[in-house]
Amino acid sequence: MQVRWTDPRLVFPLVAAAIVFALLFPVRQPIKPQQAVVQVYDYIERLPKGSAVMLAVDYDPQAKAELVPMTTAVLRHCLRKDLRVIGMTFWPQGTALGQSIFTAVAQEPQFRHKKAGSDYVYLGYKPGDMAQVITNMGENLPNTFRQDYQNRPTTAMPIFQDVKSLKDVDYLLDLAAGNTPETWVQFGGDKYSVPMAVGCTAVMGPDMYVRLTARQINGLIAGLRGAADYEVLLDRPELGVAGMFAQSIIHVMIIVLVVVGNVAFLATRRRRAREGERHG
Amino acid sequence: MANESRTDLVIAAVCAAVLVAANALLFAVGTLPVRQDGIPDWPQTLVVIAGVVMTAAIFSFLYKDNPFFRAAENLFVGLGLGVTLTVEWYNFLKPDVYDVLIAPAFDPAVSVQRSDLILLIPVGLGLMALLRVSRSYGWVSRYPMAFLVGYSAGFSIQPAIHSNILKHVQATVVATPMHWGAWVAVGLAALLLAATAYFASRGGWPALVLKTVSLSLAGCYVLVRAAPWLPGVPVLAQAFKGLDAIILMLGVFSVLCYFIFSLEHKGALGAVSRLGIVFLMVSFGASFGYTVMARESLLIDRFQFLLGDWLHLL
Repeated sequence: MQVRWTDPRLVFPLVAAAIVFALLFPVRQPIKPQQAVVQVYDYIERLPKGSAVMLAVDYDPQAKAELVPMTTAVLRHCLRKDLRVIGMTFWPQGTALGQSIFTAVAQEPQFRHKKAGSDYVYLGYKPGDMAQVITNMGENLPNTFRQDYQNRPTTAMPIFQDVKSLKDVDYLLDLAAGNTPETWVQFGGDKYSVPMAVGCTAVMGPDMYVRLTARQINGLIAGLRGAADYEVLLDRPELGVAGMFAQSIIHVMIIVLVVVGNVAFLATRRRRAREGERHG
Repeated sequence: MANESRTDLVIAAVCAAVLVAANALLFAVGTLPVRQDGIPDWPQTLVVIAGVVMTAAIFSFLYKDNPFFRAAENLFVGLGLGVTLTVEWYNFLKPDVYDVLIAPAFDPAVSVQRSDLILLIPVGLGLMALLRVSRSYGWVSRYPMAFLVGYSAGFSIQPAIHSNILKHVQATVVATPMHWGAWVAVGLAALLLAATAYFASRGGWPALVLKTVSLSLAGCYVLVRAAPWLPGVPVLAQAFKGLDAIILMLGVFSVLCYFIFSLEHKGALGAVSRLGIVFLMVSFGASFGYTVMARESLLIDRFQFLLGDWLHLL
């Protein structure tokens, strides 16, 4: 097996070395939050105390890298603002992940006084056709989820005393790694007129900007960069911000490799053309 | 071939040895097992080590396809399915079907409620769908499928048209409040772009001049949008105010023209179609860039796990 200097496999250790270097010797970069992320932050900031915010944790561990920092930051923001948070998911494999985020944030010292069922609740997963489930939530939320993730009956929960249906939710944020935002927009946003925003993986970002332009959502947090922006706005830099320097280093490396690759390609082509002329 | 296999075996053995040695070293220096109140947290330790081994197995694909990668891949799929089945059972099948319809048969103290008998319809449809695996009775599964498709279409078509088409058409053609001078400038810019697209294929000095001017204009616009904090940019940004909507409309129009296949792309249609290709390329480039960023994020997360949770270097 020959390894030439143009072997693509040489790129992998280079990228790995760059990430290790960036994580071990981090440099705090100035991060200017994007307008779409600021819009989500500002909307939550303006919500009156006690407003109900629904966080749809529609992803599984595969999207953990981008969406867990985002979910954590938004949840912290809501609890810090004394908003009531209702969590749920349409992804069976993300059910436990959502619960772990809610538990972890609720156990932080500044939120220990928050009570499950009163200040926040994680309802878990609801199977079935997503559009139908959202419609059911629009009719009666506690009846759609009769128990929360830990099998506590929802009808007796103080958080649902004045949040009877999806129409009583003041802000809806779908944190998604798939096509759930489309249905949320159709039924949650457009049908029940719930103001909503989307937090998504970077892959979905360009598609979601269309929804932002059409004003179907009033804010967008896309990818690890979006999570980092939110952490900056919250003045609590964590995993999102920590990954930004590594991401910048890889971007520079990719640009350099693209330039080097193209120069090498052109040089090879020119050399072959000369050899072709020489041999007639 | 034999040499290559031997090399692969040696590489696999070295990697396994490094993993074992690293874990042994971490255990010896007290990093593993993770301790809580002085008590060894063996489950957590095993979770971390399993995570490291699986990460290494998945990354081994970068070298070449191999049994470790395939084992990890299959384990991942199997675990995912197992978790899904468990969640479906405890969230749906057990509380809504088993506890209501089946459990009463084994518990005389509980009886089936009359209102719950309606559940027999979806249960029956579900069982019919399972017959898809049978060669003789596979046709039965078409009935629940037809019901599902018909129901979903009826339920979702109207909201889908409203949300995915009408709202976006409205957002595209929305009136943009601009000074008449700005409208003239935008019109001239559109003419310039169309002329560039038309003359670009003909070559010569007009094409060169038009390309240069168009690229400068496009570069200026991108700069204003990408770096609003640069000195002097706010003034330009004001000048470009409202231009986004025009560019959006121009993009939609030219891309639609590109997808007209019943006419030959020559003359004016060809020029506008070429402009449409530029918009499509920009769109694909943005999607690709975002995809690369997403993959980088996953890689960074894995290294944060390896350097942080495993090696405790972060």
